[in-house]
Amino acid sequence: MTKQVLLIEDDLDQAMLYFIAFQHVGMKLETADGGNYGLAQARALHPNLILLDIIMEDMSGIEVLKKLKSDTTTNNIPVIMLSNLAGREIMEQTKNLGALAFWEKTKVMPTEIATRCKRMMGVVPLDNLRHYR
Amino acid sequence: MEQLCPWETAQYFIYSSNIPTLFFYSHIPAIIVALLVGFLVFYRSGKSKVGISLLTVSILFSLWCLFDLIVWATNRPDVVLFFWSLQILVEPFVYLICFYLAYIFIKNKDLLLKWKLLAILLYLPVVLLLPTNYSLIGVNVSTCNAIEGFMAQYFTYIIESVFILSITFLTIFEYRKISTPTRKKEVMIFGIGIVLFLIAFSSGNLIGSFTENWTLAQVGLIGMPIFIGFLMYGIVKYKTFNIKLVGSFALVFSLATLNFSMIFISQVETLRIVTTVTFLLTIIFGIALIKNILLEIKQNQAIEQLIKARSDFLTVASHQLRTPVSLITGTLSLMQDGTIDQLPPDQKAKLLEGIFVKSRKLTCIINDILQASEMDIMNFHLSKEAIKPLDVQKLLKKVYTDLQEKADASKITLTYEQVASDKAVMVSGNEHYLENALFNIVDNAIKYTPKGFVKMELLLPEIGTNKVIVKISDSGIGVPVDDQPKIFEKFTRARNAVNSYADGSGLGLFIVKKIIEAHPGGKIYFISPGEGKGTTFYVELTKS
Repeated sequence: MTKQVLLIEDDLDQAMLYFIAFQHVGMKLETADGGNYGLAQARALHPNLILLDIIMEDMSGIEVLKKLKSDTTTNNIPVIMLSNLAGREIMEQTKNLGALAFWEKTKVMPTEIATRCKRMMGVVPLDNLRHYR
Repeated sequence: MEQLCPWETAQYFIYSSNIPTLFFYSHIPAIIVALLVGFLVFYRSGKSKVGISLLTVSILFSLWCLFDLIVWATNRPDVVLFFWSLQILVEPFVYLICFYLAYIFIKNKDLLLKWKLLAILLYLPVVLLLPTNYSLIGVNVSTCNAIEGFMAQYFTYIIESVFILSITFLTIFEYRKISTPTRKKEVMIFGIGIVLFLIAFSSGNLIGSFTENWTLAQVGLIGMPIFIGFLMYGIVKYKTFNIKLVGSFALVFSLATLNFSMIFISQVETLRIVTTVTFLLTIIFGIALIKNILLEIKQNQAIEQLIKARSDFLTVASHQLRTPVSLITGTLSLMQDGTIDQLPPDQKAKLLEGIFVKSRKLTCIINDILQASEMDIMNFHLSKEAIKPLDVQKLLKKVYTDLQEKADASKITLTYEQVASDKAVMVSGNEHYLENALFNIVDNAIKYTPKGFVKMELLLPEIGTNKVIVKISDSGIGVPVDDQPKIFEKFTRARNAVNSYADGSGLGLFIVKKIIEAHPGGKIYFISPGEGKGTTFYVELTKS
């Protein structure tokens, strides 16, 4: 079965970059342009991994994360926060809410993100990648 | 005739030869300080649940101490029976409220209703059995000590132990769960303080209940300073009151009380006069001292607020800057690793155009952030020398000309209705800043109008007023009613829309408002019937 990654990001330019990068490493990236649609997609597709932005117009990533983790159909999907927000507090908050990792968009480039996700999907167990940077 | 205990009747309820003098030093100061601190925290913490619980504990604890003094001083067994019963009622309640206080302080949320009910259920037998022999059997008239029944001797201590253990487990459990070092420390100090106080309180009474030696039972009162220390910690933690202030209060209060009592004790008339003068001086200088400390606290609070505002500003500003940067670097990284070479030419061109647009936006954002930051920190104002008479008609014409091309490119009809051609309309203002502000408003109107018009008008005042109103209306996307109160706030868009950088920094209207309000009589407001229904901005200026 094909491994699926869902990106919840309402900035279309940004989403396009990740889409291209995933395509480049031979993976298909599903995108959802907002929190509400992202939640619906997560429930419908049940992806292997979710990349989640924080500042979104309809619903913040924090809210989406809370909803994902409190829903029995989605609470087992690993979630990685992908944001331009940075700081110990927000990292701590998302970690406590159950996010697997926090990747800053300015520090991790699209291709690297795609490669990491591909590696996670294939070889490396998710628990070994529990890092916040 | 009722049999009395073998000492004289108590004076003022709490004074008799049976009461060791030491008791006044252990009980009365603790009552005063506990109440003082309890009320101060209550008012300063904005009457929060923690403040209310802390005050309740202070009051209950003070009542318990007062009842203790009465029980010791009186020679009447019926009075002993009454106040001893009240102590039995109050004591477990102190534990119950302490548990609640610990829970809301440590967990930072209210206790669930089922747990509240369980705690009340545990306490209920104390209330129900109070008038029965299970509580108090009688009073030993030779010592005026009550003879306790099962409930007073065992059950109350069981309840108290349950609450102490619950607080201990809660503290340990939460301490292990929390990852922030400062919060960890807070929880630990709070938990230890409250548990030590309750253990000391229990141990004293346990000794009394089982040994019948109620003098030794006063050992329990070593809990008092711990309790006060714990209250002090609460105060510092909530920044509700400064330790320095509490210390000064205590000093002034002690000196004044001492002087006041000397007035009555002193037998020498001249000494009495000197003491009265000293008392009055203590009050006057004490008030001055406390006022100074209050002022200092106020200044410190203002500084703290400023630091917080700056920190918030930096958090959002850094996000605003990172957003276009991540897009630019992201695209460049795709160019570097060759990904972009495999894309069709139109997609490649789109990405490159994106970099260019984002770079320009980034420049705007940097400029806006620097300007807004300066305005925020320096509390932007225009000096008298910076304000000069200027022709607002001419200024609007310039803005209109500068933005005409942009409007045409967006297929928007931009119009400017002059009052009367070639007639100068003079207002008091700063040309550079006012042009900047008006440009921003019209530019925004064009940006948020997908189709239709943007209309600039100058409304001349009616006779008798010295106001000039610039009206800028559009047929654009409008402002949703919910967002209207926030439109002039910093980074309003940034907080709600990730795409904010695409439309600006989210600081434009904040800067505009600061500029307009720095002008003499300057005001800015807007009307928007709602989303998709256009917006009209009004700028009020004063005629020169």
